[in-house]
Amino acid sequence: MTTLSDAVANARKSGDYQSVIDSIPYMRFLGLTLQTHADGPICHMPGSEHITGNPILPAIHGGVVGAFLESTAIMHLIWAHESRHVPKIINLTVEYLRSARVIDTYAQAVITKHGRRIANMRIEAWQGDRARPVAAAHAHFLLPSEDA
Amino acid sequence: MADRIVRPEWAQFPAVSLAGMQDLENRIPQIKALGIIVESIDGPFAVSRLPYAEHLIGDPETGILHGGAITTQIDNLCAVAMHSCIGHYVPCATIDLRVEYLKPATPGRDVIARAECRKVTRQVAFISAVAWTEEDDPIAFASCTYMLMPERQPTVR
Repeated sequence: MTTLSDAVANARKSGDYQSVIDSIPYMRFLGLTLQTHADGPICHMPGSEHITGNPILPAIHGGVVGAFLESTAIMHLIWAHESRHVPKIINLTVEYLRSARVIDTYAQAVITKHGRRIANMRIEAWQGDRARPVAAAHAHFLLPSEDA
Repeated sequence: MADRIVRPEWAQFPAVSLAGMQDLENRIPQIKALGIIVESIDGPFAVSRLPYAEHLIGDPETGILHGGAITTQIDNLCAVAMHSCIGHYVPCATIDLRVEYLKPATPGRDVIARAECRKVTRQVAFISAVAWTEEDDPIAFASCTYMLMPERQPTVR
């Protein structure tokens, strides 16, 4: 398995950030994949039994929805050349808008304010119809210096 | 401390016990996948353990757990504390969750979290939580808001 810093360096050359996800065990555990777009990566989480939080509805666990939003923000920061490492999260606020069914879920992040040391992020997740998000979050990350 | 009024519409749902709660947790696939164990419930309080595991690492350079695993532990535990406080498994949904990550979890250590249900109204419950890997050294603070839905079918049978 390639190390994270090798994966980030390769991704910056090739534009393929999947190997970065694959070097992060928890993101692999969620089965995340990503597609890069001009305005940042769109992350995908497949519906699978082990992410279920309510087997009767059934619905994805609310914590996993939060984890997916956080992971999407991390991948956006790495893609945006803000970090060669996994940036440290300071806080995360998740709004649950609709029950997330155990199907394909997508998310994309934007940097809403970029400071010298802190990035403010907004992240949205949807299923099927992007205009009907299942959850949204805002989060702050500490930006490591690029040479660190 | 939260009031412990049991509203008539809540009493139709099964009563909470530690054994019942642990059995219910074992039937949640994501909780099983994380290996989370509810260690105690006591009125509005609940404690759970998230065992350190390789597949939950968020930073392969340090071995630090991903925040998302702790978010899930806290979200789950807040619901446990709310049900324990109410005394019945009233169907509910998370509407808002905020987690402050004070410092990284110590690699190799289990995460212990403790939640307190601070207020329950007819429709909404407010819960706060703290998590740590070393005694008296919190790694995360959280607050969680749940909507109660007694009109729904029971999620526990």
